[in-house]
Amino acid sequence: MAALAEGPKHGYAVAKAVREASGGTLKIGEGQLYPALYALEAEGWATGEWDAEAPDRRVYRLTDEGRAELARRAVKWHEFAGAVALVLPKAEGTA
Amino acid sequence: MSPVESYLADLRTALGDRLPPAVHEIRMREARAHLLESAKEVDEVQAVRRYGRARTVANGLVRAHRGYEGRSAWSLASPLVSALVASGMLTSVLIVFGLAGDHAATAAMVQRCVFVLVALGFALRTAQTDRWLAGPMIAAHVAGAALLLLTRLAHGGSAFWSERLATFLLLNLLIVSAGWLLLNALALGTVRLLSLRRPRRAA
Repeated sequence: MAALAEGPKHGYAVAKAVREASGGTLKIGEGQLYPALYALEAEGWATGEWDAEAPDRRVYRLTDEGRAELARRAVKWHEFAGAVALVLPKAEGTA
Repeated sequence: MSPVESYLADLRTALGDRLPPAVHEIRMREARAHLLESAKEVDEVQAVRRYGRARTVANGLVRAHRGYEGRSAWSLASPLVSALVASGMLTSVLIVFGLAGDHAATAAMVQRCVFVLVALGFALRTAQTDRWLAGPMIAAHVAGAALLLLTRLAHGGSAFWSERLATFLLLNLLIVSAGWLLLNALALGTVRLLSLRRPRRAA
């Protein structure tokens, strides 16, 4: 959802954006992105349509409901990650 | 056959006839476009590797089509878990109200009937969702068994039960876990075997 928040993308571009944004840390099977994209469509959080320039590609874009859901989830995730960071001992070499 | 074409053939086989023909073709078309796009950046073998195992991808596509992608196993199994816990609570209620002696046979029969229905429902739900749902069933079963034993102990249970409570719970956990896992595996295996026997032909 965060990758789509930057603008409409086809599946391969979403996979690439996730890989690059995480500095290569998130290496999910690219084929597993599609069920997630279809689930977003089914929830009404994204829409998909065939690309006019490349007819075999579908381009996905977030709906307004999708953006609102992303914002809600981002808040929850940051709260959770913040709590875990407080509990975990700091790794050696970090401030 | 190129690695991408070989992979697409595997994906088609793994999907079998689990998706409607129109949806099947759209998913295959999108997978092909993705792999060819990826192969421009890395070689075809690497593109296929990045895409993931064909069977895993196919199962994800089927779950997404049926609306089960992203839902937890607990949510999918909740009606069955509720039925299992409710049937377990029936005997506890009879014990608490001192009715176990009068209605023990009836309660046991009701429990067995409910258990058979839950097991059938579980097999159907597993086949329908193509998911592993044994975890919630095991947890519900163990919770129910623990509740029943604690109720027995609190209402005149013998020292025999109190000493062997941990052993009994552990055995219960092992036997029940094996049973639900086996049923889960059988249901999933049957569905996949049936879908593989009816592969959809390439358009």
